[in-house]
Amino acid sequence: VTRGLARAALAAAVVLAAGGVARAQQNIVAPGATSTPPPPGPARTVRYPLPVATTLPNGLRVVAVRIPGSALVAADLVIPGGSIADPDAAPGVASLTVSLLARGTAHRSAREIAIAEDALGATLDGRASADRSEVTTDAVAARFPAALALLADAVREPAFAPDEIVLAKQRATSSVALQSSSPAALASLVAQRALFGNAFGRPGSGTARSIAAIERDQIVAYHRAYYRPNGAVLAIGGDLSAADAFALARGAFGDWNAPGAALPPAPAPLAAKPRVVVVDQPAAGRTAVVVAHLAPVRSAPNYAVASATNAMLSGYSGRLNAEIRIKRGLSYGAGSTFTSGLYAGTFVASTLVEHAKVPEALDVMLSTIGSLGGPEPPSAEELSVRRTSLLGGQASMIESTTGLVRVVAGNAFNGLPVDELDALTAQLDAVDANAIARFAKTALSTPPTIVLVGDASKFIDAVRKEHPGVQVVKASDLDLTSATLTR
Amino acid sequence: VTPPSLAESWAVQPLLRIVGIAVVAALGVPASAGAAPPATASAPIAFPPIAFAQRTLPNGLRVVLVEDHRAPTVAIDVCYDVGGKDDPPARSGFAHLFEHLMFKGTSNTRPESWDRLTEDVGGYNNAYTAPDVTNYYEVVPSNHLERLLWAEADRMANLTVDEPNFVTERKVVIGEYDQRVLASPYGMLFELANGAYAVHPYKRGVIGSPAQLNAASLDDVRAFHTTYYRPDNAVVVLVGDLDPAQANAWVDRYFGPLRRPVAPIPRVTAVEPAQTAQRRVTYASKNAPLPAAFVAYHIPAASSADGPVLDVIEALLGRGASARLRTALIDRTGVASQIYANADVRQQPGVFDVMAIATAGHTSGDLVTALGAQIARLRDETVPSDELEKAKTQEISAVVRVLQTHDQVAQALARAVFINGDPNDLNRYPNAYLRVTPGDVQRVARRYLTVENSTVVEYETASATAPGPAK
Repeated sequence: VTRGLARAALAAAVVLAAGGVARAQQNIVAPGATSTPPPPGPARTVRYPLPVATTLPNGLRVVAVRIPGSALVAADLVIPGGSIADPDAAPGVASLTVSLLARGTAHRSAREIAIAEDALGATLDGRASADRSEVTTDAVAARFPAALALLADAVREPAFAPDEIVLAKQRATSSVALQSSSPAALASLVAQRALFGNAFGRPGSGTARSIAAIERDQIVAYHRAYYRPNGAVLAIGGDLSAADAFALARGAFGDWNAPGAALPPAPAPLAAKPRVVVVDQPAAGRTAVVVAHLAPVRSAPNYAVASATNAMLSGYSGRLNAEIRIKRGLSYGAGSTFTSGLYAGTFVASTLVEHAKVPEALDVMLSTIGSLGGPEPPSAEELSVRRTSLLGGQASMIESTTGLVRVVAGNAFNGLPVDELDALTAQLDAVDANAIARFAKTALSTPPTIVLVGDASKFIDAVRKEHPGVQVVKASDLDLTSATLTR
Repeated sequence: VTPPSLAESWAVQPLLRIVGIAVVAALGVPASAGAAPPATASAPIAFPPIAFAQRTLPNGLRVVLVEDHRAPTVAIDVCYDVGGKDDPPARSGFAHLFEHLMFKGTSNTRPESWDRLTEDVGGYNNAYTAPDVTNYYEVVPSNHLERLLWAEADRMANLTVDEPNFVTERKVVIGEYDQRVLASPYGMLFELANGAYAVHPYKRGVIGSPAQLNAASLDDVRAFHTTYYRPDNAVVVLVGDLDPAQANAWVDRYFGPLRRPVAPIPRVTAVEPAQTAQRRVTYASKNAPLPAAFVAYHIPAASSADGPVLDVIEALLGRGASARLRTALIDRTGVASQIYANADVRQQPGVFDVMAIATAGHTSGDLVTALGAQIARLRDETVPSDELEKAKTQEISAVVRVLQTHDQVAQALARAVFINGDPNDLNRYPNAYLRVTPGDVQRVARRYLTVENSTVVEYETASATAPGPAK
């Protein structure tokens, strides 16, 4: 149909940078009459759909969420394990395993799966993260049962054909190479590595070297140990009743037998000693500056306050962007990401700056992060703005069936009650400024892990003055599978 | 914090369809998965019609409303019938530069107002410039609708740009040219494909020329705003949790007083002459890791009856894991690592594009041959009916999937108004997919997808031998 496509997309993406540099202060010539914006109307009460859960005899937890008016039905199957369960010598196995599920099964060739998926107009995707793998599908309602059957075949009986493994390894290697060329993406991987002394720090996608070393047997063994009904969660959402969703789940997975062996225990995260790391990447256009801390797990009682604390630092009016972009024009943007799973959580604050501005940007980031629990606790008004932003963003997820089903599946896998979306809203409403200050004082006042990826020659001397213990690693020498960052 | 790369944006963009549904009927789900239909042959899926209301204010402003209370948010699009093709003479890229300036504040707002009005309340704002239109959009909790209407009307009427602002933003835009066209490995490929046009201003592309942008002045900005940013050259599209009577009253209050200028709106009247011989362009990229090829064919405007057939051909060639280009160029012969097909239907006659990026050891010539063979199959063979049904189901499912959100429904309606010339095309296109026959596919392929109607871009790497995969 009508699109500007590549050309329109070009401009569309460009626009994110609109007003990038100097949107802050300039003289406004005011011709004629002025007016002010009308006030917002009364806030709407947000009603999240309430999921219904059951457990099949084989242990599979099934969560159904009814979304009236949705033409699509979506499913999200969450499998335990994840990249923390990768063999020590083979980071990347969980990721490679999920990428191979639709590349041939006991019943269908890769080509037959592709044709079936397309003929249904369905999607079939998978991804692995630290503590889980996820496989998703969606299709218009009339085609969904067949799409779910296809997903079940891919999950339960993948063939792991040797030639497909070769291709999957090639794709994974290219993707890792692409990630390493971006200072921002690389800095986030290095921060993860530097925060943890064990499997939690490893890159889930693996490295070129670790991917090359992965053997088919390791993939098969991983699949046998972790792809199982007991411990997994299946969420189904759309305009269908819970009874219909449960019937679909039973049809696709009811005869999936739980293995005799218990689920292997997950390792506990091992916090590493906070340190300062510079990755020297002379070709980088800008330097990525990352300041990272450990954060609560998803089921922790202080998850809501942690989330609100992160919101104080993030977003357009959040403190990091206010200090770094709006007040000082050091970067196009700055913010913080709070990620929280079953066993570990992280706060990762980041920005991209010109190499020579690194010392200033780092100082500002550190003092801004420290300010919440120290000299400048949040004001009630500031909290109100950030909370509105956080809750509004959460409410907008209802717009998308696929997005809502993912959140519902994640909440169930994290062991949270079915009414978690409403409960979290209430908890966020109850968070006050004192609670944030108290939380920040403990969680964000410990020495942070600092990672700088860029042209080190432009900033290393100044950084070394402030942080004499800084570790400098050439990008070409970096080994993310090692807690020391080098081979 | 990191702006998306070009690669990310065009990987996502093919899913942005203009067609869509606002209120969808519930479809029956079999109660038992044991009764799941076989994965392939099935009856076609239906497309429920979209429900929207439209009207025109006395000052010429068009308004399209969709009431949908499934989420407590509202999307606001203000789309102007001006795009890259309307750049002033010797000012290629100006429409896009101007779009950036629309965020720089008015007599009533400070430059960062848009983020305060949207991000601070849990929403977002953005805009894009296409060859035909410039679209500004926001999504906010629905109790903020009136504020955003005020702000959009304000910048339609009162844009204030000073010299320092203008110079700074021009640098930002030129910096983006450097990043997206020069630094991006395949950025120039898309620009070169505009060489399909000899006469029509589509030949200049949207991103334009840094030299011509540097020649632009604040006077150009004022003239452009006066010429094109006026109520009779815009549509306001509102989708989501709104009360139509209240929303209409707010539109009247804030946009109603805006004056319709007397001067006519300049329109592009250039007509691209029929192409009679293939054009070939060769380019040596300094930074592309692997060769690529792009072939563009002239096609009719979006309002044509052949538009939906071209969409189905796009799906046959490029959509999904079993698409023809993927099967032939990636899975079977391995000459390509990426493929892409796009029926780029526009307000005035557009182009149908196919593109491939090579794997190590293959040349752009190999890709041109392989792409040409798949296009020739469309002309020479009748598409099997099960494959055609698959493509139709994919097109309709993709529309339903993309248009889950108020944002996408609003953007699709805005484009339909100005690019198709009729918001009803939201219904016409998907319903037309269902009626496409194997004969239609062959007829349309024979008419437009011909060698003499094509422009070939052979994109070479700087070194003669392509490097192997990254270590």
